[in-house]
Amino acid sequence: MTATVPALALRGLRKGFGPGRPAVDGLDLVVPAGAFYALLGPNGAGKTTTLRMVAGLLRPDAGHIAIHGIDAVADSRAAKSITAWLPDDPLLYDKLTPIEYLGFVGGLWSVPPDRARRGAEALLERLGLADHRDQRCEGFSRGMKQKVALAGALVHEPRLLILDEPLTGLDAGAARTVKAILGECVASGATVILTTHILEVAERLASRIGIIRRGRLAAEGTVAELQAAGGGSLEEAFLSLTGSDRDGA
Amino acid sequence: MPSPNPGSLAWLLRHDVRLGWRDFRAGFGSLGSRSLGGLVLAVVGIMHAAVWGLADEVGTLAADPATRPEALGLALPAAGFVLLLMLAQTLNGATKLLYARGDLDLLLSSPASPPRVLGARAAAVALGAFTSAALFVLPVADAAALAGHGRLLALYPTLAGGALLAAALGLAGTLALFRIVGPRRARLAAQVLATFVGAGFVIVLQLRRLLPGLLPQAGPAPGGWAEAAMLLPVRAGLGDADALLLWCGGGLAAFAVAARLLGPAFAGSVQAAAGAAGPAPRSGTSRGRGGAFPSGPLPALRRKEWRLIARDPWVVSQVLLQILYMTPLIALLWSGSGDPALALAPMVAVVTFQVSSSLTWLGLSGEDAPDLLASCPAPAPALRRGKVQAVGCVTLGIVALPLAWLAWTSPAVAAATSAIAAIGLAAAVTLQMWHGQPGRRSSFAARHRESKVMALVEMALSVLFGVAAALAAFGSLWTLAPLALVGVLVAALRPRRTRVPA
Repeated sequence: MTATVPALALRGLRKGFGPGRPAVDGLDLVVPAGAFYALLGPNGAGKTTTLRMVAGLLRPDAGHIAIHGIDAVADSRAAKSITAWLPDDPLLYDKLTPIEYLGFVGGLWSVPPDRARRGAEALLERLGLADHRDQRCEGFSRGMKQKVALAGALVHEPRLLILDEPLTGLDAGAARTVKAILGECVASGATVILTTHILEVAERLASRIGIIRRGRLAAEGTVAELQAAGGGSLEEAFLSLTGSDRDGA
Repeated sequence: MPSPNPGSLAWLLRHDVRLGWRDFRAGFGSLGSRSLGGLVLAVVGIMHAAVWGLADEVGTLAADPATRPEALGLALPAAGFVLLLMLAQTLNGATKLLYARGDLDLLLSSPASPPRVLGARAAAVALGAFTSAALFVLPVADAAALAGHGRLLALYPTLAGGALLAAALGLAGTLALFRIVGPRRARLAAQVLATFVGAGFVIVLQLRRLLPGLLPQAGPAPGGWAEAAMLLPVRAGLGDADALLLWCGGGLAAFAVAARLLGPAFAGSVQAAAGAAGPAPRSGTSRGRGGAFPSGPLPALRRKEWRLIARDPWVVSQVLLQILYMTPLIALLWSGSGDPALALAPMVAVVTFQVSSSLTWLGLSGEDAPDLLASCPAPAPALRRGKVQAVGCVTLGIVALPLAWLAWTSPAVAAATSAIAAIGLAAAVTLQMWHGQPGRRSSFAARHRESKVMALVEMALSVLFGVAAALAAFGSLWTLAPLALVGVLVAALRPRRTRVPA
């Protein structure tokens, strides 16, 4: 029974910001449990708004969000306890060290301190931040902050990991490590949903891809299915499905 | 009026003045230009009306200072006060120039001459200092002139000369700090120095009252060149033509030299300040300090708030300075009444409100990772409660000692003061939840920039809480009157739709 429950199910999701066309306009989407799902779309398509609603940061105007079968609007606490959210520009506490930040995140998710510390140390080691674990984040580069925030998203071992442009600001080595870690998360049974503008990332990592256009799902499937639908590469499929080819982009 | 040539000093200064004016306007929300102009005129009118009754007396006193030594006794501290306030403001302005660079990258990468760019910006700093002081000083000049003492119009150029001198000293002082303590610490050092400079004069005056034997008393100046230097701005302001020429010329020369000589160094420092965000220094390490975070959203959140407050020297210094600013009031009440309870009760009430206002902003509006908290499995009201608890504990820790002393000496006053302090904390939290402007923790010092109205409201509430506590210490039932005014003021500020910071 549990295996058939999707990690994320969106039905008729809608969110507007003032008059005009809503940012998310009746979105239906199902992400199977254990998937590595890439959400693609042109700028302003509604990707981030969708993910912020899933993470419980925005309340939908209409529609239904279920995370592993939990109604994320009615029982947001239960849904949040198995979810992690990593924004594209994660903000940390400058005066905390990475190990303290991860301890704090562990506390928020009620992870026992010893377990949080062990997990934090392993993650920092893996992300190449072990030497910086006791330095305050105030002098960190954007890439280092991104890695600390990613470790924070993983420290409570979420079942659903939502990441908005997680590779922004990372050097090639760090990006490779992050991709490997996300792959391991999926291998261990978690579900990863990410947005990216780098189609190669989606092509190489994602088991399924959803393409959003004007707040609605324009296409969905495996890379091969989308390539077949678009008649060539993923890039060509993306451009034709989103109408970007007609914009001369 | 012809527009100045693009890239010229006047053109750049006009650009800075326009930005400054828009920054000022932004503090009044949606108030239109005409309404804001009317408000400014009304405030200027009120300031003139407030000093009108003193105009003739001041003018007569200033007419012949040589035969009226009391004139110097009044004018000298006043001049010192105004000059130190302007110096504090220019120190702040120069620090902002270095760190909150805004469009400096754009300007310095343009073909415009860097010394000219920085000269214009320094002139804007001087203009800001002049404008702030002018609101209090120039109404005296205008009123005295209308009363037939036109010599006091010399206060206009005297104030301008003082602002230029203060800007030169502010630039030099900030650069010196930058070189001595380095770009990472210079910002905090300059801001703390500016606050001490601004408050220092009042504190020294009060210490002289309290400790007459320890500090030299006001009276004849030391004599020689030192006396002449100290009296120069006073004589200039009272209309002595030679002194006026010397003072204004000196101020202009100091400003020109500072802008010319320090300009290149300042440009270099601006870039160094930008590059100061490199790897964290060794002093920024915190191995094992403070212990592990407990499990559970609320305990973890409370500990996070306490740790961030304790590690932020700027916040700590601001809180301590808020207490320091109370020193003159405490000294005045203590020496005037002879009853320490009468001094401590208002101090506890005012400090509680002010400190909790500051810390509540940090907790509720200055959250650096709002997404993290919004996505954690705890309801938003519970998180807010945790933050308020953290702030309440810190505030209680600060006022615990004087409250304990009050409880020991006069339990009734302690009980009344505690109740007023609790109302103050509640008012601070309520206002922050209704009107707190979300911002980065690092913008703590500029939290009132977005709303000058809220800054004025906080000031008014501080006074009301202080008065209420003083009346309570007297045992007067009139203590309820200022508290009722607090209630009216807070209720009047209730928004139509409650806005709660994340």
